[in-house]
Amino acid sequence: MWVHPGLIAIAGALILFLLRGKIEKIVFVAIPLTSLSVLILTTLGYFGNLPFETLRFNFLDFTLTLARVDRLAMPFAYVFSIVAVAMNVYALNSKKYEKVSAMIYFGSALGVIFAKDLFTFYVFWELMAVASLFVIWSRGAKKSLEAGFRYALWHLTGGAFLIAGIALYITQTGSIEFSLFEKNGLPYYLILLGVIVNAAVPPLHAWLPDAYPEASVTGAIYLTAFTTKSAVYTLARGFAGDEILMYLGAVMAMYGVVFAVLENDGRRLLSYHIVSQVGYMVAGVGIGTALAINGAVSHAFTHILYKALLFMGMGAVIEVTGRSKFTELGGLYRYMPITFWLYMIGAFSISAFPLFSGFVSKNMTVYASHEFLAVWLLLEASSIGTFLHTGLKLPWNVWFARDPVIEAREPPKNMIAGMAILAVLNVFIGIYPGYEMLYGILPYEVKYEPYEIGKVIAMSQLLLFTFFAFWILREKLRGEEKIVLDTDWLPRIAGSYLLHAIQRISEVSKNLDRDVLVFSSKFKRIGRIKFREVSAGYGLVITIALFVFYLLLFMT
Amino acid sequence: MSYLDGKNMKFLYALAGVLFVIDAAGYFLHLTESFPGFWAVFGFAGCVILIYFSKFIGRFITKKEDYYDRFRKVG
Repeated sequence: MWVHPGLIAIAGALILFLLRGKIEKIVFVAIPLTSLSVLILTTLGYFGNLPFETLRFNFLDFTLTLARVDRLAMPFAYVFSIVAVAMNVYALNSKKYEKVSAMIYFGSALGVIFAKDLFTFYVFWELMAVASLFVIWSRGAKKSLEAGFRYALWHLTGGAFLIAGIALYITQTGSIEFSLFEKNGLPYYLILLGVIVNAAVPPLHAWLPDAYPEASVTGAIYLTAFTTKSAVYTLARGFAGDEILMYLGAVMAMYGVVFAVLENDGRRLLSYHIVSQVGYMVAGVGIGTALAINGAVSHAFTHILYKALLFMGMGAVIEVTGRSKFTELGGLYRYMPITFWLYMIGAFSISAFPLFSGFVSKNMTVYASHEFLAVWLLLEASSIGTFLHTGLKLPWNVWFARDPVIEAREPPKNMIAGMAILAVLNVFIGIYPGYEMLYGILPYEVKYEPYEIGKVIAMSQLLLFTFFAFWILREKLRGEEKIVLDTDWLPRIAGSYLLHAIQRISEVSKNLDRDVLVFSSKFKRIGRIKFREVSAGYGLVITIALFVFYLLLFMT
Repeated sequence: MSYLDGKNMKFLYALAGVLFVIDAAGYFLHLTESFPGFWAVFGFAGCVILIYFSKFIGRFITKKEDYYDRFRKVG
């Protein structure tokens, strides 16, 4: 009997509520370890050969299947569980509510990965949105509450598109199976729209760099892994080979990089690089060949490992200094060299240095795209930006750039340990992608050799000369005390005007109420009809509006 | 980055030279496809263009930190 690793996490989260002290911490780390061991046993064949389906229920007229375990789902499930272990070690001392929300978030992400029907998929999808919202809110600061509300609005809108699409899809096709979707017009595109909100495809990405940096130090690391990557999984499952995604992904990769140049907040810069990196995966899914899907999945795998490491490194700086802006940081190398080097392992990995994890995954996607010149060029150019910001701009601004502006120290031991786990994994995968390791669990057989001399030399030259260009122009990349406007500009401005207008209308109507009452009290006979109970002001406004409406209707 | 002065920068220049030699050798032995030094130029030029291009766009979309607060009329 196969046990659902996601349900283990959700059940574990509920148990976590009742515990405290040391036992709480032990259980907290044990939850993802349990999920991970279920997955390892699955790969070893204890539950039968892959692929298999299990946990079926009848619901209304449909059969729900909670678990479809196959070669596309397994790599995602693996990396979610592995990274959750490291994250929980890092977040050992966080608030209890954050821990519980994070584990429900983790569990529901696994639920999305294993769901075989659209009902189960949708339920876990929304649970994931809610749990991640509470992860953001658990910081408790005013800014995170506001950013959380905006985050919720984006995801509720996305969720509404998704459920509308699913409902139409089921009525049109009669099938609730979650697999490659038929291209049947509106339902297909509604579902796609719902999913790309979660994948943070511009212009629907603004929630990501808005909300992630407002979460707590420990909360933010959970956010980096699950939402966008489960969306990538959904695209790979349901929309593989759709050309639109290829172009969207390529633009997306570049978009994040351009915005990162302007950014002054450390974690916001890293958030724009999530957008950029997910762009590679979306492009890979859009190309849709076996090589490209392998590239997208392996890139999701390594990306989760190094992006969490980067957020942990920057988070450690925020933890000890309380500051996150480049303009308020600098010269910290003297105090936190260990954090710096652990961060740099993540930075080398995301920049795809040979012998680091990004090299064996990102280049596979880029290589798969070289039939499409524009896509290929955008992806290659984004590699430059990735190294420029994550590997050079951020560390230079935080750890060097000037004499120390603030005293600091290394973060607590558990944080270092969490980072060290991921650093070791990143180096290990980079050195040995191997056919039993990462390349062994990908959806298709891997026919790609990362360490050919041409590829190594090309990448090394690209990175080295990016460094030279940076070194010459580095003063241009100092942080500036500014914020960058993004596509959420319109909804935010429009939203505040809307709220303002509503407030004004209610004030006007209140005044009108009073005036009408004062006026009507002069006519005692009218007063006898108990005008007060109808709220005269509103009544008058509505009557006039209706009258004008009818007039217009008859005149046209 | 104080440790990037003098000796270490020289090491990086030497590394660039070595990479170029291997690249050129690889090209003439038909081990690599791209023209020698292509990726070096691509990396350098790409980086410069990226910085200037983004800074140009930044002129229009970077604002003071209290930008959104100025529109806040409620709450």
